[in-house]
Amino acid sequence: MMDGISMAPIWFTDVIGSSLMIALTVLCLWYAVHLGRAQPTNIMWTYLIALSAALAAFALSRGVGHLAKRLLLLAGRQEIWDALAPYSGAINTMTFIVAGSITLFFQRVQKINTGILNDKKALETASQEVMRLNENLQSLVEVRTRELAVSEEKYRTIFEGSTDIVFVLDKNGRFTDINLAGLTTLGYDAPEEVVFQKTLEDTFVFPEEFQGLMEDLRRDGFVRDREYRLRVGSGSEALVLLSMTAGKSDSGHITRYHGIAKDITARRRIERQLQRADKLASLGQISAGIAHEINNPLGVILGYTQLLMKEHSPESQAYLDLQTIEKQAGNCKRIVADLLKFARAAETARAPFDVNQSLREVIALLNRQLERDNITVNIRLAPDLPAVVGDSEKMKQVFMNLVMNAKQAIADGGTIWISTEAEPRTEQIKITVSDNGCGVPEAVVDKIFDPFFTTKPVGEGTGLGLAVSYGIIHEHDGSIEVKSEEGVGTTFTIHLPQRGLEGSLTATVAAGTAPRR
Amino acid sequence: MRRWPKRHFGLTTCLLVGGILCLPRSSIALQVHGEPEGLVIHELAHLFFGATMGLLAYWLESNRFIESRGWRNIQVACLLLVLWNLVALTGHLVSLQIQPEMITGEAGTWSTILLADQTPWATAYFFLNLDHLFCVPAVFFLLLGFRQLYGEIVRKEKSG
Repeated sequence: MMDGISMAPIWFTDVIGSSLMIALTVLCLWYAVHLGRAQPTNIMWTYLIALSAALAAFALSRGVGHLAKRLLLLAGRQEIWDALAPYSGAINTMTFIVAGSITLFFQRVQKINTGILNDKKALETASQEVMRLNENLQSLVEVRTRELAVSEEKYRTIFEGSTDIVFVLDKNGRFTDINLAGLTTLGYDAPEEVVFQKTLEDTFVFPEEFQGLMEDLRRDGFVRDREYRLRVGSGSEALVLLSMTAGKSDSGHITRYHGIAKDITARRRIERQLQRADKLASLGQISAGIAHEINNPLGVILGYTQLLMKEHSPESQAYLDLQTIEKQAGNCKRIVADLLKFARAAETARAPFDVNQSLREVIALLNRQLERDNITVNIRLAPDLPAVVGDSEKMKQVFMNLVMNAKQAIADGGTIWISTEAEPRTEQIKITVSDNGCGVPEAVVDKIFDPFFTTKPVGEGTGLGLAVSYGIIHEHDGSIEVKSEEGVGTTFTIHLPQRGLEGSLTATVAAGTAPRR
Repeated sequence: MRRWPKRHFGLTTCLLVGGILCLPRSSIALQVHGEPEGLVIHELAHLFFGATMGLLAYWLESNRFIESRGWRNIQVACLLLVLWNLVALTGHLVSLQIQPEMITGEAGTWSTILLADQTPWATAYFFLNLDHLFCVPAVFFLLLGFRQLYGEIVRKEKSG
């Protein structure tokens, strides 16, 4: 144990240490402030700023105190230091407490801050995930939208481009969509006239058929290739082949109907015309055969009858009887001749003639009869109608048959319309003879050109007029069609080919026994 | 549990205040703070500061802050400050054992001498007064830690 210990090391350590403390804590504060500026939201730097500030305050207080103590003691002013010492010590105490409090408080704050940061991170992660999903969803929606647009365009093209009627109905049978062909066929100009305005039932000629259709759809969910008559345009009808399906919701309730209807009116008409042509061709063959077979015996009967008549006095009973035989044989001969005309087995002259002129002549001939029956004739003849090559006399017979038919259909008071027109597109001329007479029931329209078919009472007609007309028109490579509605009237339409004058020199055609098609 | 009616609080307060005013004994207005209180509070402050620094060192450890060099240095600084607080606290206590007459020479100069033979605490007093040997390195490590943390941030920012 030494007797005395020099306090010099303490003195120097105190002075140098205090100075270093001040310098180092100020530098700490400087770095802490810069850390805080670099990351203002980091709570750690806020704590370090507060801690280093408290330490700097402590170092200043203590350091300045210690230095002042040394200086004051050196200067022999012990009393001043004694006065200052408590304040220096108190400030030191305060800085400890502040630094300690900050540290305690900081740890709690840091815990909360960590929780907040974790929440923030989780929120950011969730947000990024949501954004990623959103981006995926957006791209998915875009892809699906594009696919949907392509699909929509494809099916819309099929829908709009279809020549059949394609439509969608709501559960009550009201149109919700219909394509252009549907509008055209049904005689509408714009979808607004039909969509949400009309029901399918409105287009049905026979509403009871519609009820049956709906019952079948409700029961089976579909119908296929059903034939129905629909109202089209201004009062006319169309025969359609209809297929429909019922669309159901998840709960199984019918929510809509989809349908496709094909207009088979023209096809059916052509089919009927072909059937009629086949039938008439067969009849023509039979008629020609029979006519030929009967024609010769009739000629013999007529010849011998006339020979016998020469041998008897005109006043004798035998002569009168022979006269009756001759008359009836003559009738038979005319019928046979008509049959031959129907069968196109008669001789036909071919020369260019004016259809308009032939019509005028026929009308002039019948005009008195028509006036007597109070029938008005409206004539509309195309002025520059091309000539037709054929037998004008036979053609006049056709016109006469048609006008007489019209006259008989009208009975008393009515109108006959006669018109001609050229059809440059098909290189044909069209002749129309219409009346507003009683018309022909639909059931017999197909038989109207059959030989010996007549709707007139027995004895008023042979039923050969229209058959002969049919034969003559076909002999001229033309066609004749009839449209008739009972109680409304009948229209005969004749199409004849336009022919130039070449090869139109008068020629006698010995036609075959079978009609040419 | 039955709640004490509010009106009873007022009545009780009035009776207490009235009793105190009417029956005065010794003064209880202000507590007198004697001389050792300053030393006690200073010592407690050292204890408190040391404890919080120890807590901080532990907290840095348990929260894995020390994986960073900067924080590791700060942790060292904390431990040195704990030591310094213990030294300072002890030094203040030992100082109580040193009477002014045990120190000779001109006061406040380096020529003063501690008379070691007059007290068994002289050596302890001498070494405990060298507390700057703990607090200066502590603050140095603190500065080192701050500097490294700042450097890390700057490098991160530069590397984007």
